[in-house]
Amino acid sequence: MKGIDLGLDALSFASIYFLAAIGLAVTFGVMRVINMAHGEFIMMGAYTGYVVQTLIPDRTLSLIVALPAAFAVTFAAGVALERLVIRHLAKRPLETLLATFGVSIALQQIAKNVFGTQARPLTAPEWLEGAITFNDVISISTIRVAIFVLALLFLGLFLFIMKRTRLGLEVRAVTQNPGMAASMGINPDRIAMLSFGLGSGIAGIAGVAIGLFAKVTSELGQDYIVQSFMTVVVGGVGNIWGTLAGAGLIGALSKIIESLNPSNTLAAQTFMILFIIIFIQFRPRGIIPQKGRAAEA
Amino acid sequence: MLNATNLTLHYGGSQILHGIDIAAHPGQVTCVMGNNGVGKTSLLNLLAGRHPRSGGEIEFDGRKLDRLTAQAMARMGVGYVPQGRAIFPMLTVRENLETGFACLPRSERRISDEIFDSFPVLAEMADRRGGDLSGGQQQQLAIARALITRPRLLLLDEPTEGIQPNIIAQIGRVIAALRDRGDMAIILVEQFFDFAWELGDGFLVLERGRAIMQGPKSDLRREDLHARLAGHATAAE
Repeated sequence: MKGIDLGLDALSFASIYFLAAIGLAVTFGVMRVINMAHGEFIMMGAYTGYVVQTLIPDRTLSLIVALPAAFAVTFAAGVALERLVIRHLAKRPLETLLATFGVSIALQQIAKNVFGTQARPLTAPEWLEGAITFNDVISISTIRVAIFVLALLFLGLFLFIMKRTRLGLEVRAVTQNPGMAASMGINPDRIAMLSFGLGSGIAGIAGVAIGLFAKVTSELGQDYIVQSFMTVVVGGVGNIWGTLAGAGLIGALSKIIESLNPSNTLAAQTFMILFIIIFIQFRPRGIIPQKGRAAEA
Repeated sequence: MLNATNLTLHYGGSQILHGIDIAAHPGQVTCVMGNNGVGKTSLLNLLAGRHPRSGGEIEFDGRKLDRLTAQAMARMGVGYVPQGRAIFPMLTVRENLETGFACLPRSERRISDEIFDSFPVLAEMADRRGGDLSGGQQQQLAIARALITRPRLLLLDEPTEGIQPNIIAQIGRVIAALRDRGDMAIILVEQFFDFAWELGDGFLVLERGRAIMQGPKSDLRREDLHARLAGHATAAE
């Protein structure tokens, strides 16, 4: 019984990690841009949800409006960041890391100035408030089920866009060889901009979902950026199934460590990072590495 | 089709091309020859819009072109088959071909049977990843991929490099067939002398970024051309 409860908790942790990381799976996994401000896009999405809620009192309706609004806001922010900063630092990962880290701090400060240091509420509609109870031990809050469903939805959306659409094909071509993609008539700048916007927009939607159960503060993004990168790297960079596996592993792990040592969160995080360091030593390409002649070259 | 005059090109401070003239006409193959490092690939890169020229005039379809970009050249009808093939390794063969759809209107985005007729191996391998193909298969894919864009000028950079003889013969037949169709101009950079002589209608021999011999096939003798290339090969050594 306890095991099943633990499993459900791990699953919901995993879906949160997956949701937070999937935007990064586009910008870092596919495009290989290290964007330290990714967490702040999650935060922007959460604040967008909060602002929408102050304008539209009906919580269900405001949630329905907030999701596309958060996507639009963070898509625009992502496009702006790509055009103004990242494009000029192409192929210079260290400088990109530093520059986006700076942007991350600036965005946090802006959020503090606009919304104050106090946590803002983003309240879930009533139908998401309760819990699905099976018996005394096993119950899962509805919101966690919703987040799990949302994570699955995004997995599907990601796969559809990358494998079935023209945009996905062009994104993959540009990331593999931008010069050759241009010689095939593809505009690499436009594709870089769009896919970065897409990854950022997904982060925004994740922000709304995270805001529903976490406190919306300017530091919200900080809590997710490290886990998101870990999820993508542990899973195997450039493979969405890897990101899913990474989220599952990290979700399960954090739950197990938490259940063994419930009082000390710092120790829990330390154990987690230790485990990941050791894991990467043995599987440097992640859980699901890319295979074939091309990947091994 | 293409008429370029007095082209110059620099990489940083060093000058790579010195006043090259080159023309390409529909139904003809113009061969650019010369040893390694004389600027053949640089010339092709320039024409494909992949490296900006420092000087010279380029006229394509009667229009003067200023700054070229690779994307604009592709959309204008210049197909490019690079040295080393530059297949997208993680895309399937079919997806590699489909990248060229960017140059086509939505209604015409399909892979014509002609492509697979010319290169039957690509039909067999359609769902394999480009990076998993052998060198010869990749070369065929690179040519097919350029043809998808329906180019009016095809730039080929050493398509025989490192390829086994029967595939070279097949590539030669495809190039000849494209030339004989009469609506496509072809510029072929090649070091394999017999292959180039067989296909070429006009020749340009480069040495250290300068044209040292140039003209239509009718004005040149095979022996002279061969001697020019071979002679400089020994001189270089």
